[in-house]
Amino acid sequence: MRWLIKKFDQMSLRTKLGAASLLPSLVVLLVGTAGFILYDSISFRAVVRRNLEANAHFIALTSRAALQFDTLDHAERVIAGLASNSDVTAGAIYNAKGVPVVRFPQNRAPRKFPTITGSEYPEAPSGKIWLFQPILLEDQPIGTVFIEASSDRFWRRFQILALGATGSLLLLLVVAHLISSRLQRHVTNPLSALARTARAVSERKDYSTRAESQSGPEFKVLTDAFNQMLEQIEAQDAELRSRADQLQQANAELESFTYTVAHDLRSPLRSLSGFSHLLSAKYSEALPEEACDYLTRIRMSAERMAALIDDLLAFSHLDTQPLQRKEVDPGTIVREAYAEVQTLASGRQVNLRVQSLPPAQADPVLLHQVYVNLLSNAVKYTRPREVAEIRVGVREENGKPVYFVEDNGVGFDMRHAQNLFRVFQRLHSEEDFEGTGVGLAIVQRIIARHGGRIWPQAEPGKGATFYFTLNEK
Amino acid sequence: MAVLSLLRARCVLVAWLVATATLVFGQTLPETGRVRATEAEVKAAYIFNFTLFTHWPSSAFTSPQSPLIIGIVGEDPFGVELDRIAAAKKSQKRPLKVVRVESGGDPPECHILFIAKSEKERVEQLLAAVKGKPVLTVSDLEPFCSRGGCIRFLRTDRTMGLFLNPGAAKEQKLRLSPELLAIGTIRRTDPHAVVD
Repeated sequence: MRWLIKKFDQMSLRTKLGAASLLPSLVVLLVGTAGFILYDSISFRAVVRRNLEANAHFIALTSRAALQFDTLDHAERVIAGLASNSDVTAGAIYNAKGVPVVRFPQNRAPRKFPTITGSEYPEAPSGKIWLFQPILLEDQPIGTVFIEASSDRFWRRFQILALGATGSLLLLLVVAHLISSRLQRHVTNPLSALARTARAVSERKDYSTRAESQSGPEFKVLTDAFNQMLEQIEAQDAELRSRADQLQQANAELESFTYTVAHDLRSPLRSLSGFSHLLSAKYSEALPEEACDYLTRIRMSAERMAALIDDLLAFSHLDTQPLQRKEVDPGTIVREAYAEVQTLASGRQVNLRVQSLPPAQADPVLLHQVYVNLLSNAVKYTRPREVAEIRVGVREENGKPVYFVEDNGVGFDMRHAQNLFRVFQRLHSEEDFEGTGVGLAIVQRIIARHGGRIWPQAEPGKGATFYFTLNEK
Repeated sequence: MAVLSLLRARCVLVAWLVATATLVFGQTLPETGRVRATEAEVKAAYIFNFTLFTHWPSSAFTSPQSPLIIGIVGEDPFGVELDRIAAAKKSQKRPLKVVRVESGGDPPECHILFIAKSEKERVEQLLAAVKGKPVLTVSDLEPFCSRGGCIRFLRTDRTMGLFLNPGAAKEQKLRLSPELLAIGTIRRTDPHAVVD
């Protein structure tokens, strides 16, 4: 049963509707027909038996005198009348001694008739009906009427009925199927059309498609709702596209603006720095010591601003350059990056430990930049330590490598962690640790472009660790 | 005398044999083709059978238990057979009684009157004597039915004849059963006919 229902669930709507309308009718018709045939065969058997009994009774009554007067020719005429009944295969009149003195058919031998003793009658063999009717005269038995009928007719009638019923049932089913499939089309066709439209929409992403309107209140509601949904999706899709275009345009404008501003700012800075340098070099003796100091300050400020602008340019460039992803050896990159930042550590004791790092899929230039920034931070913020410990490595989390750069520097309060990666956001003053506040923003941008994440782990005075992943998405 | 006694002895022997056979087979009618029945036996059985298929008015009897009387006029052809049946059987729940009247005598009070061959010349006289009374007249003489008799029968080894005159029976206030009529030949009263 469960299997049948499971099968039923898998059928198409059309088959389901057909089965749902035809199966109950089929069951009802089958049960009804079977009941009718059963009732008919029982009642027909009873009718035939009563008919035979009436025959036997009549023969018993009309053959009494013949039997009594031994005028058997008359009895033979009576019993020959049985020939008119097609069910009857044999008949006989037994005398009081149980001898079949009159027989039908006449040529059938007396020993082929059942033997009777007194009022005990034998059972009929299968396929035959035996009827015995005692002949009474003044309450005394003077003989017995015997009728044998074939029950073939019951079987034949049953066969004819069953055949007829099956035939008409099949015919009815065909007619019912034709009618129901005709009607079902009005149910399934609108749904199929709707399903086709839905598939077309989802496959082609063409939200301008509309479902054909259908007759019938439910289908009308369904198609109207579907079309309204499509309209909304189309409108929202169009809006989304135009917003994306606007955003892209605004972004491009912003980028070119940043680039222009940075570029245009650089030349006056260069003049500022160059001329203040010339002034202190050529006229340092003519100027009082205080003026020289001011000049040095001007020059340093200009240089710092140039560095700031360089970082800003690098940061805005990140988004315009395409990602060149390939297999790289992070260990090599770490060593090259450290070589670049080593000048910051001159005159200090810095212990760098690099674990063996597995190959990774990344843009080598950008990954180099990540390590340069993270290592320069580590070197920078370990300056108060007599011996700086920097550890670069990898560990596994959820089957993915997590890279980290760990130091024993000054650390920071985790409450300010969310500000770390914003441009120009710094946790320490320029006097304590120099910097532009762009480095970690760049690192975060590169990691994001690689589909990874970066997060810190730190405590004030106990060092900081930066973790990052690559290709997570 | 010796011849006579021998004859009587033979009769007794036959009677004994028949009685034995009847006891053994318990039948009213001798069975065709098996035990050869005597003519007397068959005829006696016929007389008894007529009582079974004839309806008498209740006025014909003095009481419900009163016997059905079989009267025989003339030379009795039944021998002991009719007495044997009368002693053994009942008809219509009544006992049977046989009354014999010698040849030339008047018909007795009875319900069936058998007119023997010896009364050939007196048939009409005897019929007239019981006319209108509930008496079933039976004979093996011919003509009988055409003279107004109810039943004539003849039975030999080979032939069986049963002639019935329901009209005459009706005049005797009797009714012959349809079953009986079905197996016999119907005749009418016809004073001019020479045969039935």
